[in-house]
Amino acid sequence: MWADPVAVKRLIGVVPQQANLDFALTAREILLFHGAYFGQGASERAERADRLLDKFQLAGRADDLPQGFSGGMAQRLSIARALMHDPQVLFLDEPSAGLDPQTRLLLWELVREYNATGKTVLLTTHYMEEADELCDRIAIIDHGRIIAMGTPEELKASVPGGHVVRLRFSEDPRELVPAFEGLGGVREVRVTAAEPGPGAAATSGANVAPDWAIDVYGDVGGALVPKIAELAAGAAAGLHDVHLEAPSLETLFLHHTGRSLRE
Amino acid sequence: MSEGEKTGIASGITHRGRRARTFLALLRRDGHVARRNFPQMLVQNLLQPMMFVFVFGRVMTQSGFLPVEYKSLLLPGIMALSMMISGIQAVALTLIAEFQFTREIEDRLLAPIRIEWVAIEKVAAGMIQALVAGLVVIPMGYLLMGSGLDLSLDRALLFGLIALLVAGFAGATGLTLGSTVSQMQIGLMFTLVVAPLIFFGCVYYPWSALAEFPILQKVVLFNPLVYASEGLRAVLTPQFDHLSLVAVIGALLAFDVLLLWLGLNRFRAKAVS
Repeated sequence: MWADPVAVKRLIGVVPQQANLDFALTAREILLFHGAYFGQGASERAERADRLLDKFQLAGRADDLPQGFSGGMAQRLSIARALMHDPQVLFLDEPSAGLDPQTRLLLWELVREYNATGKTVLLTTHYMEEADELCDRIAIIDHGRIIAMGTPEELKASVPGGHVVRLRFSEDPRELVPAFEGLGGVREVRVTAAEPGPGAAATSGANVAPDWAIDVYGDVGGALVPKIAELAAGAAAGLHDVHLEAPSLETLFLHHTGRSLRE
Repeated sequence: MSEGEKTGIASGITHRGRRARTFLALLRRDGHVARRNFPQMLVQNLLQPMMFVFVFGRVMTQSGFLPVEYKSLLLPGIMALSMMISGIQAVALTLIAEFQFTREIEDRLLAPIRIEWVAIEKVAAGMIQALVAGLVVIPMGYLLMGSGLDLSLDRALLFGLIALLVAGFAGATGLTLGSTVSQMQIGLMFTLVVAPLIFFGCVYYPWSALAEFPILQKVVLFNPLVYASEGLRAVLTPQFDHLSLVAVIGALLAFDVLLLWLGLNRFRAKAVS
């Protein structure tokens, strides 16, 4: 790739997280000149630009400078620009960050359409449902390392059980772990955090009792709750919150990366 | 010739052809933007030299404070200055804006061409602007200075060479400054770098006039504007004392190469970050 960066530039289309548009040109001119950089003839680039402006619903603003564009419009324009030279591989860096739902749906549609023509799309995202919806293969990257990779189905199946029951306690509940593990349908029990809960932080700072959290991974979700509640009541650990999560990439991501905050 | 060599040569040609097309498209883009901002650009580039030409070339001479010959002495200097300022501004100011947080430059860096060529295209665009800004000074002089302006326009080839070298220097300096200085430092750049260059650039006086200040006369030889002014003086107004053309061309060439090398390095470092 470093040997011939120009050839690579011809093959790829890049949509950065922040639209780096040519602010001295109008939307149509941005596309036209981009086509010209890639050696397209005048009629070819005019035709492609008009088609993309239509498709990305920018035709009405085609002759405006992008300064006044909303985030969604700028994003659409920068994807249209990337598609001007019909790249084999399209890189989208968090394309739907900060977009309104309509724009996001339009974006998804366009990505699917482009992908259906046999081209590759490489997309990074923080939205698990976006990855689930659009991707054939997903790599979960944490701190710069791939920690899991596969089809969405494979990845979801890699979470023990798939269902998660997330519990919060005000007292140390670790004595309960063996009992939870003994329940039918439970695959894994994890003590995930001992940090002040939102309730504790909101009250006075003096008696901040740390909150305890346990994630119970199981083949079933809701059916576990009565048994868990029974066990917790017996131990007086102060169970005060139960949260159910169905199998999703979100639980998968958290399962693989843990719960501490990421930069 | 083997098959491999043939395709190798053919792909070399198409490769160069494609690069030329991309390069020209980038240049067309800058021309397009320049045309759109034409009135603004005109004022930015021409108002100051116009006032200078009028006040020093007309008011001061006609009122008798300066001899009529000063018109001819001043004009090549103003021309050099005008080229320098507009060339530097054309490249540096746009680059500084494009390197800002919007990273607008990336729009250009996506073009299928090595990033060095993107930088060279900027220099070329600056050179064109500098040449235009320099050439208009000649009719401006005839219009505003009144009679007594004595230019010899017969050494066209030599004049063209020097004008190109001066324009190249302006563009390359713009590239270097534009890839080095940030938005916040533009004002400082003009006070600290450009203003001293102008006043000690033999714009308003010939280099020979510094004979009374021997140390200063040596020091200003590090100022590239000196060679620009003196070079244009040598071809347009050979009646005055001037630095030798060999020294002028040699020095301008050296400054061009140095600044272009520096600018390309700075640009590369800043573009890939």
